[in-house]
Amino acid sequence: MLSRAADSFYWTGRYVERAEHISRILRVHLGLLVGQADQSGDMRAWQSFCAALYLPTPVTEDGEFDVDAAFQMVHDLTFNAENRNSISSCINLARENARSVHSQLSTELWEQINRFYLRLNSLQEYRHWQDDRDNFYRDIENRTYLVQGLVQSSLLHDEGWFFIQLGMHLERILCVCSLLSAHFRYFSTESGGLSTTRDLLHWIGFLRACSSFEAYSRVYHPLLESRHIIEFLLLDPHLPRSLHFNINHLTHALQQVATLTGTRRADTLNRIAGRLQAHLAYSQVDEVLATGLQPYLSDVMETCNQIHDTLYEVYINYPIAEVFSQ
Amino acid sequence: MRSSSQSQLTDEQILFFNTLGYAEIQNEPTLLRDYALDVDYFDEMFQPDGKPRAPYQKLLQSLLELPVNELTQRQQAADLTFLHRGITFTVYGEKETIERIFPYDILPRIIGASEWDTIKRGLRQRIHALNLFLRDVYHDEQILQDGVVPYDLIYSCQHYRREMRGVQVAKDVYTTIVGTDLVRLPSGAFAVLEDNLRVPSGVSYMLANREVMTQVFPGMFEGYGIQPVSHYSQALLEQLQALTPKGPDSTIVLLTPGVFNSAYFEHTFLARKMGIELVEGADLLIHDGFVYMRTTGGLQQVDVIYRRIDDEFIDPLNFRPDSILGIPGLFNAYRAGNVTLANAIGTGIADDKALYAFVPAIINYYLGEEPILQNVETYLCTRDDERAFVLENLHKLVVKAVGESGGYGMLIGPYSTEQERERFRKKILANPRNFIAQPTLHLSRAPSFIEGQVVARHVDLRPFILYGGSAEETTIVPGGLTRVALREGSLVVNSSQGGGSKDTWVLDHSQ
Repeated sequence: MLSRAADSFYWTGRYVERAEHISRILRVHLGLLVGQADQSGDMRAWQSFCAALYLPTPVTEDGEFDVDAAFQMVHDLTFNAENRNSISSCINLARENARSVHSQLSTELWEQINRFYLRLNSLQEYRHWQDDRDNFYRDIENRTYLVQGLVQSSLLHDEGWFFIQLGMHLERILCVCSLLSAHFRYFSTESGGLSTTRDLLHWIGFLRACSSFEAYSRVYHPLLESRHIIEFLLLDPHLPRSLHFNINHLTHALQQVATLTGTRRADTLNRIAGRLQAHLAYSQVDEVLATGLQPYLSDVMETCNQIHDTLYEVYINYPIAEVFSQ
Repeated sequence: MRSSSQSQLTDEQILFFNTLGYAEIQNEPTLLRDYALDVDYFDEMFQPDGKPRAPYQKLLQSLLELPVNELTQRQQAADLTFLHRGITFTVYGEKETIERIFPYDILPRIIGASEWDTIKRGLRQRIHALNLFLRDVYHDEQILQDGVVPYDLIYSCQHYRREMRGVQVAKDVYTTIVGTDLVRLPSGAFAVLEDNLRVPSGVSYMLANREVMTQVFPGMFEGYGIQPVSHYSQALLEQLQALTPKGPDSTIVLLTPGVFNSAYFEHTFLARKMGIELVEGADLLIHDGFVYMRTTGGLQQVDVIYRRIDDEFIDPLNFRPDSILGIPGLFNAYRAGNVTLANAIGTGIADDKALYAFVPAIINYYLGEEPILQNVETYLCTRDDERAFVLENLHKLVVKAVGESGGYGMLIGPYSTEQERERFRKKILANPRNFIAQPTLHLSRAPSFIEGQVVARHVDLRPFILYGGSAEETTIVPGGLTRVALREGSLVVNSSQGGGSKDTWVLDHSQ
């Protein structure tokens, strides 16, 4: 497969996943505001929401929370294609990448990505999306599921497919890490128990933002406990949003790509990913807590960025001289 | 010269509806109310007496029976399908870039079996002769020595590539892919308007038009036996494989200028249909005289490049040094025979608009045959008497710059202003070699569905010819791209200037 094509597949996977992630946390966050006396809701909810997206919390000149700016930010995160963090921008970029490998996609998949793009563009001027926001974001999420479903069911599961998987799983690990890190920064308590009823809503919201609340209730009892949440989202091998689950799929995809391309240069890359996999597979929640959640997450994210860089060195931007000297 | 009003129902039209036996049409508004017959042009659907031509009989029947909104709904369904599939071109505005679909007309253009047979034989003959000519021009120059084509015409052509002299081209196939533009004259005969021998485009629209038409309007096909077109990509792949001794084991790529090219959709479309890699210049590199593409598994040697980049831009070392689309050193690998390009470099000499006037003589010279398809009468501004005639008759003629395409660099005499004519007069006198003139063409007209009405609009036809080294080894998919000038009275069919396209049906022999 062409290196440029691999690059495009990889980013198609990442951007679609990112669009889904942003849409879901927007939907959950805005949902939590409904019914609260103060429209701005709990300040900490906005702070953790912004932190999860690496954005500053909007404040007025007096240092007060700025509600108008916050809702403008929500609008931008949805529609503003200039904003690199927005859903619109993610879908534009996913489509641009898909377009440059158009010839290797199934017609169904390409058409779905294209329709997604056309739909978002046609809604740019939609004034009433706020009133209908729950449906609106659900529709966006459904469209990402359609795209991911067609990736599974209509695309040849060869190299290009594995590069999409690499992008998707890597992006998901990074998204879950940032969400975990932000939420625990603002809502965790010394004891590890969950204090107020109001906070309970935010913890449920957090699990919903990870599509994991219902699964959590089945595996643990519905009484939330931060220790269980950490265990679940980091170490559970069966939860599709957990770090462990995603690193398993990531390492598998990396091994498959190495086999399919028959390159020996992949050793370093597979070692980095394999070490992270072993780490998550054999860690226990007590060890995570002993290290501290935040440093633990930083390590994971650091390793993911290393995987990304090495992936480029091995498959995409490798030096030509090296190939001819082999 | 007799002209008929195009705005209201004329006696002539009432007459033809009557002869059809659809007398009630006079009273009720129908889809065909505004359809004008004009004896100055060949009408694809009707004979001059108003009776339908045989290939159109069933279509006309459907048009007269269809509910009023039916065609509009189908047209919208077709437009939506094009949009969803991303069969679009990009318009670059100041603030934002917009993607538009190419205008598509839902009424098919229909060609009878025997008419098609003549076209096919004519094109095979013509393209074979042009390839023999290209081989001769870049090797022995026999035709120049014999005085059939003047030396200076060749050497003054901007598409003549000195670098190609003596270069052995695989199987002597200079043009694997050709798109020749045909027009139908008032007599009903097809004539060649121009040959596109460099990087002809449009074939994806031929294929997509058929796919979409089948999808949105299956009922229209009922009872018609239509020759299929969808095997085009297999036929193209076979021709490309035949260019290298490795055959089916060869690595073939399609070289595109990139996503910003207006034909990018076509490039992805063809690469996908053929199952070959779509590459950009930056994906390829030259090492020790061989071409490689950069893949995830390392470098892979490339045997054949179906290139959609013009000669000038293909290799900055040998041609335009400012090109960022090309591959430095590609020409050296090509000359060494380590890679095959389709089409070959330097083929533009044979579709130069001045050389066009010599094609009948070229056919005769190499094949000893009379051309099956006629040329359009052409005046060369390099010849003193013809130039004098052109300058005197600018208001009647169409003047074309020899190296331009896409409808640019043209003067359409009858629609020009005094100032425009004066400007062209000066240009012609300054550089006679750069211009030719032709009589204003009376392109035939075919039924088109525009704003809720079926009206007559001018059309041309671009069949695609896959040449494999002889007339026998040539494949022409039945049909081609019919382009239509959607604006009333307009003769310009180019998509850049208000043209659209429609599905083209070639009927089976059985009919």
